[in-house]
Amino acid sequence: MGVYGVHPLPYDYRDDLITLHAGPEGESSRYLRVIDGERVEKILGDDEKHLLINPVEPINLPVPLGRHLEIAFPPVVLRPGAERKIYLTFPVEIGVFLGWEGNYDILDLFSFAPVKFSLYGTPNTGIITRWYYSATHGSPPGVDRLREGVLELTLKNRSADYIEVSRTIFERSEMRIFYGELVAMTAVMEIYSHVVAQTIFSSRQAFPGLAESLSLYTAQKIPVVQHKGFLMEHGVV
Amino acid sequence: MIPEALNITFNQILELREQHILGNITYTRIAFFIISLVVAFFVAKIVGLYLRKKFGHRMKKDQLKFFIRVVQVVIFIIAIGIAVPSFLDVSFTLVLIALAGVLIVVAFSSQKVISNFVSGAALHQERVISAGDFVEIGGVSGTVEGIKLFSTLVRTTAGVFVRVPNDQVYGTQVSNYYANAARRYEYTLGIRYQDDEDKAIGLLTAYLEKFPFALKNPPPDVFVSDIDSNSVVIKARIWFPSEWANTRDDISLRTGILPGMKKTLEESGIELPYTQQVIHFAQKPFSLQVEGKKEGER
Repeated sequence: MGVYGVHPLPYDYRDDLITLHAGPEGESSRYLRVIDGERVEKILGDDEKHLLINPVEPINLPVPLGRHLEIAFPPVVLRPGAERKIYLTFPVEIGVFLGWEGNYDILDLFSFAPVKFSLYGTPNTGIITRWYYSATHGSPPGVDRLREGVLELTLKNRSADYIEVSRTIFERSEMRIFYGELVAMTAVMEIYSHVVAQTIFSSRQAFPGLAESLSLYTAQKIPVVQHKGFLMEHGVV
Repeated sequence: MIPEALNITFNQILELREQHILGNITYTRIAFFIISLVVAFFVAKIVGLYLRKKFGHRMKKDQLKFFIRVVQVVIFIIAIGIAVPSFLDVSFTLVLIALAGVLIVVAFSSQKVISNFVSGAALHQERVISAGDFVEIGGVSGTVEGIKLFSTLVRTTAGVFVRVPNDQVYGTQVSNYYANAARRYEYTLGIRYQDDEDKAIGLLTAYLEKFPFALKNPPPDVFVSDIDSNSVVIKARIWFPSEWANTRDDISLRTGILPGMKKTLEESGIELPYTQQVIHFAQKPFSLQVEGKKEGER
């Protein structure tokens, strides 16, 4: 599995991108992460037994400015009533957790993906989103799972018009990320008009053999009001 | 073994109940008055909890706190209004007249306090500002800590805690930088006349594209805004997330972006000019002629 998964301590991982180390060192335990010269070092308790490393909802770095991920993609035109499955990519943020089953807490958070923010809607009624551009694929693209994940998005045109779609937006508490051989999410976008659409995450795994990620907001026990999907009210283009 | 002083009979208690302490005031009335206030206290608490539960997710924290406080004060006033007539053995109408009189006196003597209270209520109702917003109120700019009954508390970017009376907040111009999700900033740079302005615009646009907090939508607007006596002036209008922009003051926002823009241009050979003037003379100003022999002449 490489970086992702539950790792008993001591744990060491090294490749061209990253160096990770956690475990006893001298008289105490230490966590070390080095990426591109950036070094994060923390002293751990002696009774720590393992680390959990998995992708988390990609809206936390460099600073959490909103709760939404926006993915822009080349326009897809849907005829009335049509359904179409497309594959997009999304940025990956990697969370390192300490603890034990059911009681994890975040130790470190890092990402190799570029960051860009955007405004969805107008300045007075819109929301700030983490923006990401993806090509549209007909089948799951091969991606570096440390940088990008694969989103299986089913577009459903519920309107009586031809609709052009070129963006989709998701809310953090809705996201269900799975990891393993790749990082993946599965979602449905129901389009009601040129202006209104709803995105809903599926609990179904699009790819077999993947484990579900521990989300950051769950680990941090951030209280959220659960909605059934996110309602896009400012257009789908 | 009951002490002698406390060894009183039931009949004595009944007699004590009706004993007049001061005027018509008896122990019973005092007890009723105290019980009324205690009941009002618990009712106010229960109503507060109910309102918190009912409106907790609909109203902002400080607005809800203010609303609950007002409701609790009203409950207390009603409780006092009910308890006082029987306590003093006077008619309810008389109490109302007295209360009105007291209110008039209080209103005249503490106009400012009432004005602040009403302004606070109006501010909550209008929702112009709320706790956590970055605002500018009559020359004071900072983050709102809370709107209290009589004043608004602001923490400035310099770390100073400022108390602004609510009527002053209500009566002055208030800029809320946090009310909208995004804010636009404007940056100005000048390049030399001989530099290619299209290239400069392209470079700056590319730089802003890479800058994470310069919003993708609305996109940055980079254009030649003026040709002045020293340079070709290029303006960049950039939208930032308000939440991010408001965690820094304008100075650090500018110092964060402007050096990057300058460096981008200079790395491509586009320079920011010094102040310069080209002077043309209408006539040849003067000429200098040196008379004498050339070298080697005799």
